[in-house]
Amino acid sequence: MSWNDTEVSRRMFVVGSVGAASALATLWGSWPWLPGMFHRRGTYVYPMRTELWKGVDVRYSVCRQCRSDCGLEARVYNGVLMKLDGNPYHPNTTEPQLPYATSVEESLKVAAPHSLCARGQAGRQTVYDRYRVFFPLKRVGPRGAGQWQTIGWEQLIREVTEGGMLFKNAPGEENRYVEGFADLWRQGNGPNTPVDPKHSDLGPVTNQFVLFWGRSEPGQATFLTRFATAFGSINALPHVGICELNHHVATMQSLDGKIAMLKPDVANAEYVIWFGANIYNANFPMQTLARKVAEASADGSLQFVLVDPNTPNSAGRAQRHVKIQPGGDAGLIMGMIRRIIEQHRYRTTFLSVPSYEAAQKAGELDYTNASWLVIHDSKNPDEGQFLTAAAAGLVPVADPAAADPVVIDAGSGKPMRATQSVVGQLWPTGNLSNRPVTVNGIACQTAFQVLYEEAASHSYAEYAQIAGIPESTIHELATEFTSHGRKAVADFYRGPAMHTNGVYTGRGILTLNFLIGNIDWAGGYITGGKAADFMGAYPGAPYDLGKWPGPKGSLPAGVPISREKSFYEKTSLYQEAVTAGKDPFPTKRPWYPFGYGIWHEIFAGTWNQYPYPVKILLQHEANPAWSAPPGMSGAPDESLPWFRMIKDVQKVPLYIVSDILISESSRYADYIVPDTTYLETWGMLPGFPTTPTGTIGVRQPVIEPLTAKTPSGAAMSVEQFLIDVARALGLPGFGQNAFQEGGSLTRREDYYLKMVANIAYYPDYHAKRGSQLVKIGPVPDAATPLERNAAERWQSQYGSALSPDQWRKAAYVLARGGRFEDYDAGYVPGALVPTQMTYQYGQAKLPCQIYNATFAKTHNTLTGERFTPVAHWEPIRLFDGTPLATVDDPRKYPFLLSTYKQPIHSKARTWADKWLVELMPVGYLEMNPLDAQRLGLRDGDWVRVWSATYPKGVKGPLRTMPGVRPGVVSFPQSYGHWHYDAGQWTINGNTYQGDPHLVTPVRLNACMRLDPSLTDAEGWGTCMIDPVGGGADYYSTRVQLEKIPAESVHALQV
Amino acid sequence: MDNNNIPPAEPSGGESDRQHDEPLATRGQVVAKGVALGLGLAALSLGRQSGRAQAAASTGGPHLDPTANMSWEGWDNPQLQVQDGWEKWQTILNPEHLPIYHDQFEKIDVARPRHHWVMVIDLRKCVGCQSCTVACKSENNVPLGVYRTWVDVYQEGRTVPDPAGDIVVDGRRYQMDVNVMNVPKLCNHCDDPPCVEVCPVKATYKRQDGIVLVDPEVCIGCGTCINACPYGARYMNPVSHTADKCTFCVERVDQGLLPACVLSCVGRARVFGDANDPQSDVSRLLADYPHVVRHADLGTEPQVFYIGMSGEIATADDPDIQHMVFTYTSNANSIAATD
Repeated sequence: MSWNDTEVSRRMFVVGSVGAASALATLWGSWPWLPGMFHRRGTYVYPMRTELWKGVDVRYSVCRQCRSDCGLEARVYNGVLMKLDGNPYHPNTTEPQLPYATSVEESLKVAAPHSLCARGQAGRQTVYDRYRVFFPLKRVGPRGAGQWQTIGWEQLIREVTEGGMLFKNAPGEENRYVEGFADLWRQGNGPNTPVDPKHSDLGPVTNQFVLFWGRSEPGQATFLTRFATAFGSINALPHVGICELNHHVATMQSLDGKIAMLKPDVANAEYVIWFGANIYNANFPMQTLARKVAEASADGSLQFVLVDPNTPNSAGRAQRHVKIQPGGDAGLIMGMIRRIIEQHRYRTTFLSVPSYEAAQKAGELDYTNASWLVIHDSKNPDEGQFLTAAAAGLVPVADPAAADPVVIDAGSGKPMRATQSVVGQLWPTGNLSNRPVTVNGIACQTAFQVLYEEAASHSYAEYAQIAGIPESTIHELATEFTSHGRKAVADFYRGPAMHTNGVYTGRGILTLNFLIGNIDWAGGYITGGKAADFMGAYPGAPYDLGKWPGPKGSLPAGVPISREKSFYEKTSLYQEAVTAGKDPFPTKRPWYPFGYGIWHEIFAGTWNQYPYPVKILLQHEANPAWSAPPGMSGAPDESLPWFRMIKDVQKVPLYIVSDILISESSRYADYIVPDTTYLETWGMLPGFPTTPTGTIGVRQPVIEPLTAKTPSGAAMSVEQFLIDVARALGLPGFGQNAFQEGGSLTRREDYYLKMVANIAYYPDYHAKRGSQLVKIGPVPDAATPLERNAAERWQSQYGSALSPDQWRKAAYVLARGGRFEDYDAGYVPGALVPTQMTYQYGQAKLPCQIYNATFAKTHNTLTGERFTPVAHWEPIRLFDGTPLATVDDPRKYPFLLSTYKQPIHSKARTWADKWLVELMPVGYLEMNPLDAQRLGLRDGDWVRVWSATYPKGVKGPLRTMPGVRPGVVSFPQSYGHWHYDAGQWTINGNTYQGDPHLVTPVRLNACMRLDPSLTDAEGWGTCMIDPVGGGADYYSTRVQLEKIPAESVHALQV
Repeated sequence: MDNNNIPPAEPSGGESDRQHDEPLATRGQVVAKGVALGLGLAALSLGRQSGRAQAAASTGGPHLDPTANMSWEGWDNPQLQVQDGWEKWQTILNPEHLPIYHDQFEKIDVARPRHHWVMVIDLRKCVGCQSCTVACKSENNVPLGVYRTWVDVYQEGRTVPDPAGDIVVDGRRYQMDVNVMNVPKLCNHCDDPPCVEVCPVKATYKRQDGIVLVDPEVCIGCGTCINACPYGARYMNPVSHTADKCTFCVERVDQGLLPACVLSCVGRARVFGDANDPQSDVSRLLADYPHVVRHADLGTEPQVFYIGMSGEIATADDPDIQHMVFTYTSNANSIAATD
């Protein structure tokens, strides 16, 4: 037969060596030199018992292999987690999801896909990882030496609480007194003692405890924040600054300041442009978006455009793929805005609606500030601010409406309060005229005029050049985007946002959506369903978890170490300078009123001891040594800024890490608190805007935690650590009498189970009844045996956490892994096809901000320059304003460095999962074949890559990929570990080896550029940062590379 | 050897803490301690495993010594080796004692079986995420390095100077074409399976409902069937040393559940069902859409059908033809298809 002649070539295991071993199988056993993978001892256990097999417990929880928070279905047999799938009640995983009323017994038999992605499937290897840390560890050598001893839980709590000469056996630390929590708490006086007596608005001394995390989500993050708040520290800080912060800031500052993300209603959209959103590979939620896009694309209802210098998997289905110049997205966006305005392709009827009341009358769901008047007079102290009704002479200064914005009313042609006008003029001085209009002697422009003036400040040719695309592409996309009514969306994620111009670029993307008026409409840009209020702030909630009995501190909470969420202009530092007649700028480090979770500024604040010194740094589920910020870490090189900071025991006197293993970062810890993995812990996880219906997943331990037990019998975890420290200090909100409603908090379940009760009693979830949406109130009591069992597991141990009534309802939620509105509740009923979303931004009655007046009065605190209030293109700049192009010569550094995420990994922790590692054990530097050809480079060649701030560079293998834009080199984000389940460490005198095959190339974060204007005299500096949002720049570094001799790689081999 | 298992150095008062406080000098003591921890089943395998620490298993715990800790590799897990009926291979593979065929497969049709299980893969919806790949690994305990199913994910395309091209780099214009192709691959459960015919001991067979299986208790590990499969869909299981392959998750299908790869298909590209039921999703898809099979020319009559296939892609990574994105770099059982 002909197939016998088919040439068979088999891939050998180690990357780079492709060998023919087709005879392997027939010669089984006679090739003893074959790698271990081909021959393993043991007894093969036939496949996993099914979910219907007797003795198998199915438990619904929530994944955390990435931040998509998909509901999971865990099969547990004999205490062992066997298999992870998707929770069929959860809308991330199942479409349509099971009706919430379906019994758990029925849910096990569901014959529809309820998926979890590859990362989620592999989570079993995260929890069953032989390298995990199960006991508290204390370092015995210098920081980072890898020398440890085990200590008991009580010693851990005592030492970090009381402080002392904790490391007197470490060289150089013989006489170092380490302050513990009690030294800051001062028997309760800490929160009332200013950290800087001259500037009490910086907050109390307890702010010198800084808690930050890489991954901690609602529920758990709430717990961590409760501790920090009770202790008197404002510093409970997430990782957003190295993630996608500028996207969030752009969204929030275009909306109400709170909503951080919108998403397309994929099922009803006709046309979506995704800027750097990595559809199919990642995003929120990866699998839900991928599924909806795949379906809509296959059935032809959706056409989509990718704007990305890399090539996500979705490129095969995209109608168009714009391979944008990195950092040049705003060229395309501002060009589109200009084109749409000049061609009058914007939705005038929407943009000229000036208020919520007018929107109601006009049949709009939202309104914008496009028609509001902005003071356009450089001599006016309120230049750039909205003209108020009082300033316009419409009402007296004392009138309640004095601060109302003003429009030129289209009907009367006269100035009128925005709340009284039905239609505001966009062009008061003529079509496409930017000439100001004078009101009460004050020259003004409409916000729309300001936007157009900005958009028209560059020619289409300039915008095309910025974007690295032909001018025609700008015009075509402007036409296509405005050819689908409200059923088109421009959406984005990290790609356009994580540049120094990211917030402005993101503002442009939001503005595109405002121009077509798609917010809240089916097929438009949507907020998604709400999460049930697990904090219990609603009337009648079982537990008000945002409060607890205890004295209030007499000082303001103060300013975070990262100076985030804080207006410098409102501080005593600023006021003093102004009062003294001094220039308040520059500040020692920047301030970020709009951003949050800014890692680079946590570290910079720590290094610079600005605005105050740090005493205790507690890191939870984070790996900054590997995972950035850009240029500050990412390679085993202690000359990089993060390592310099963390090794400095003066600047970081006490470094406590809660981790599941000894990672690249926790290797530097003073103490490692053994933590539970996501499969052994709790969380309350809201859905994402991709899902129109109300969603809250409940993460609960699916197996007994594997960590060692404390003397009280609790599994060791970060929460138990904080509880026990709190009890040792006598913090309010912990221990006895910890809740407003009474009751103690001595184990984490005392807290988390109350959240579940709050979810169960949440009154505002809807169900469709006939042609109406009605609120359904609390969930029913658990009724079936499996539903009752789901709570019995917890009630038997933590019975006092809830009342018997509450247990019956909590059981209903726990059994289903959360609470979910049914699939048909996402759209307002009554129409033949969906038209309006059930959950609408417009319900908040706040405008879509074409113009952000707060930006106009907020400064870059290094330069004193004010922020731009409308969408805007600017070049990539250093923080002091210097264009990067004048710093790095493109002839010397011809390539732009980019990076992207694959669908098989997310954060640092997926590297423990060998089912993922084996799919691709080695990462590559990726380059367009045309560039490789020009340089004489071939696949598999090794190169050294370096930048101006990292001349020693990083080495790795090269792979040509046709999906990388010429002039760009890229790399997948997940590789280049050196101490994750790998490396070497010593505990109690015994040396342990990790898996050497997990040390593989390549990670180029160390090459990413540091900002010389954010670098001090000692050469310690931070990455390039967006001065508006605070997010790190990941995609602007110029690099050079050269071919080097190939190095050997010992890829995965087990 | 195991004085590595030193517990927290500081004595502490709690009963549970004390379990870790006593130095555990021998494997035997580890066993004893494991029993004390209520993990007796876990510990039973330790004697057998002594000296082979790399063989993964639950060994009670927790331990400081990584080699003594549980990791997940799927086999030798004593907590799963419970005699509850699941260990009975024949029952799992064919609980209803359907007729099985080792040759003369044309007789299956004549027997008018109740079901004929097939898979339809709608490539328009495959997102290349490898969820199926890992779901299969997890459901079936497939050892590292071998696969029952995988997804070839490639980029293809080229960038050439073109005055009308779609990108501008340093003032010069280029046309940059790139496409991404994802092709899930697995056993085709052929209606005329060459792998079955060649088995010298009749360990592999085709069930009357179409599923091609291997009975590992009969298989002698000669590898003939592995070479006979033109799709690279079989491999030698490095743990059992027997031929192994996709079973369509027969134990799940027999209980009315979906195969793991279908259950977890993110794009819903994989559809599984009964081709004998004209109302089934697979029947409708096959009726409504043009579809192909891999290597129809070989006459094996594959029962995995592809919608939207535009030329197969090879598993070998040849950058002159196509560029591997990720996956199966360690896939030892994957062969190059050549069209």
